[in-house]
Amino acid sequence: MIILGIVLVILIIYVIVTYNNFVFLIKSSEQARSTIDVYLKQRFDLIPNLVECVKGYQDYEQDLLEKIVKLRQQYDDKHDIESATKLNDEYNKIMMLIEDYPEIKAGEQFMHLQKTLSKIESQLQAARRIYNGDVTKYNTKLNIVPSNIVGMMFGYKPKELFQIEENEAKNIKLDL
Amino acid sequence: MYQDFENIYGNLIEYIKQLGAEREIFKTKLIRTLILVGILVVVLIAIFLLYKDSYVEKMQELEIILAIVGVAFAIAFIVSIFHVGKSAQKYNKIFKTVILPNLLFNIDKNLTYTPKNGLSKEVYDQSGLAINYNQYSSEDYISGYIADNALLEMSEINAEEIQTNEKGQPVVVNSFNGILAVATLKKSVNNNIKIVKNSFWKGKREANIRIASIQFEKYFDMYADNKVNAMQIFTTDVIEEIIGFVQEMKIHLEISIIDNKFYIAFKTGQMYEGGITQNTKELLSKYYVVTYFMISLIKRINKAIEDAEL
Repeated sequence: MIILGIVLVILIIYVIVTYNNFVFLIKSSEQARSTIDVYLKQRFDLIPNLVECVKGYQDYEQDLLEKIVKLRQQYDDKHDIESATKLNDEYNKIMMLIEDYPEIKAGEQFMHLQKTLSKIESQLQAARRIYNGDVTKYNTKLNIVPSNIVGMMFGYKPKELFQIEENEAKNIKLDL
Repeated sequence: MYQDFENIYGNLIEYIKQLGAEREIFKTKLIRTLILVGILVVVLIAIFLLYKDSYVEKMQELEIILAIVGVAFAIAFIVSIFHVGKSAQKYNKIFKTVILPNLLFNIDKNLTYTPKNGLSKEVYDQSGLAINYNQYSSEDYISGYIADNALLEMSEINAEEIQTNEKGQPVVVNSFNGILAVATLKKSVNNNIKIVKNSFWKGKREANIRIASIQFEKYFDMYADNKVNAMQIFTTDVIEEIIGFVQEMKIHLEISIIDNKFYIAFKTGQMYEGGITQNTKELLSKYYVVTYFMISLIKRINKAIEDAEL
């Protein structure tokens, strides 16, 4: 009877500790996610300035602007990884567009913008690594025995990693 | 990196041959001394057994023989200091005044080596990596302005704590023996970052950064007041370089960054010693890799700070 009692106490302590760990990891990843949102917002806020830089160099600026405004609205409404990725892809397209125009790159306005952007990108990448670290830890706990039992008891679900592409040179064909 | 070492080793070959000759002299002297001690022990025991009085009991006999052996070793010790020790000193002198400075010069031309100096106790305390200790010594001081005008200072440190055991006797517990390096970074990062040995009990939980790397988590715990800033400094490349070093060299290290100071502590045990009984190439290779890695890491971190415009 005493042994059973001891086992029960150990089990209860384990469940409490594991539950707290899950809660801590969820909170921590949510905090990391909101940090990503802050940097994404800062980055996306610069899109009009970017479009301003490419004005006059391409025929479909109006379409591009409209598309971006729409995607931006979607991202503001949902704040999910999918809408962020879509908006990010359009953002990267503009950056690729600029790659083909040395005269834009040499402009003072763009140079200043690029400096701001590279700083935000560095912060964004760092925040993304923090978030993914938290989520990986959380998902691992959900997959290994015996913590997965506690996870199931409280209905925890695996979280998606934040895999948004950085602005890097990609071979995107643009209709100019 | 290892190709560079082979070249450096090739450049030092003449000095290393000189070192090898000294080692041979040392070995010969050591063997002679040991033979002398052996003969002395045998002769003394034989004399004792021949002339012992009958009243010497079995137990006393054993004690006297042990005393003879003790005396013989004491003589051997004194002879060693004057005879073999001189040879070892000469060996160490060549190692510390010729070979080591040359090795360091080849790693970075600005590095200077002062065997008798060391980092102060205050630097060790400021690193935030010091564990309980009440005895401190430091030697083998290396310093110099490496690229980007970052001042690098490092030395071997031996920190011990004198504890008292259950019987009330003093016991020496080693808390750190290895290399501590401190470098001035390009600018203050306004952060307090620590990478320490992985532990089941985490320190400041909120400050703990979980890096999505099983290898990193196997060896280290990372803490920072500003997590994003820390991850901008410790980029994926930097993290991979640290893991690679630990896996290859099997040397544990701890890192801290406090404002514009970068500290790194390697648990290497004794460093920058000649090791007369050890393989010179292996020793030099170890000293080269540790020093090279340290400088490379500082340069990478300075670059990360610059790239991220911190």
